[in-house]
Amino acid sequence: MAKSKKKQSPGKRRPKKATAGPPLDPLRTGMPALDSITGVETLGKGRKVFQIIHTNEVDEYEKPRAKVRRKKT
Amino acid sequence: MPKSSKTITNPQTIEMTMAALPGATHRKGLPAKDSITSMTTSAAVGFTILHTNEVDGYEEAAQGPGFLAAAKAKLPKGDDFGGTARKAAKLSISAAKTENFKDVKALIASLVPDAKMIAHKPKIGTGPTSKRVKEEERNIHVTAFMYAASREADNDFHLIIGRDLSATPEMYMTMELSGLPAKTDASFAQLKTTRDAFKAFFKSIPGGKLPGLTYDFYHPPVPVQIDGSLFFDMTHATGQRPGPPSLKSRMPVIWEVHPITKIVLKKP
Repeated sequence: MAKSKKKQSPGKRRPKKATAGPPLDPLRTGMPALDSITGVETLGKGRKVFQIIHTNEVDEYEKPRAKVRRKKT
Repeated sequence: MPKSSKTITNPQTIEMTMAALPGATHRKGLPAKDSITSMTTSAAVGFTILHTNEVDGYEEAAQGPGFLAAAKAKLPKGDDFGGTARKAAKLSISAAKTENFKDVKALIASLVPDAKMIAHKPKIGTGPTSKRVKEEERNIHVTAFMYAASREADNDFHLIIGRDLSATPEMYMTMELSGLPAKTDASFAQLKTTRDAFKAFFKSIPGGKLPGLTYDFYHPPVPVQIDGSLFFDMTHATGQRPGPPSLKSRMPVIWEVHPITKIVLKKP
């Protein structure tokens, strides 16, 4: 039996992750170094696109995370 | 060292001196404050060298605390080239006609995109016998400014060359004074003359000191005229790219001028 598709009102739609966004401008003020970028997430589509640039940059005073040891039950 | 220069190492004095330096507040191309370890001011020529702990990310010294001292101890003495990566290309001078550029931006715009060079066919090798490929057979002359410099483990001086302070966007490119090849090499005489000219510039400034393994930054940036052959740094096509951490985000290409075949530095 074919499933019926429910129509969602525009206001209830979840924002979809777009697959590709506009190319990054590496020389834009405030951009991270190219070799620190680990991934780019593009949200929205059309004119309203928002990109999150994930990097490996951390504050230098941060300590590396200690490995979490699981307690044996 | 002549008396007209002063070296400061106290962090509070560095901060106060930086704040009082004409034109240094929010100036483009300065290092992060916490990377400055000392500063040498030459009052006679109004020139300041900011000594930092910044190194290229791929250098042994960048691996963490404690590695810097060991890496400094290993720095080669003399002027001989100490590396192997693309040695044949790095120590050769292209026979191409010189192209003139009035700005680093125009030079960068003329380069084949990094991605195309990485996918180059035939693949650009990284071994010592890797010669210049067709795209690297170019000689350039550029008018620019020297913002920072270091001396790397292979004995090359890395110069971070950028645009006029008033130009936007801010961008930099690596240009290298190569360590010297064997005396019998065809490029030896020219590369030695160029390296000597760089050394002579620092000698002529009271308190002037050649850069070491960690980057020195210059205030104000040094006006410079550079001639040299273009080179694609295939060795650093993946992983850490060249450049001091404070400026790396504004270094859009891994192309270099390598080797520099003529340099004229002007006192600021």
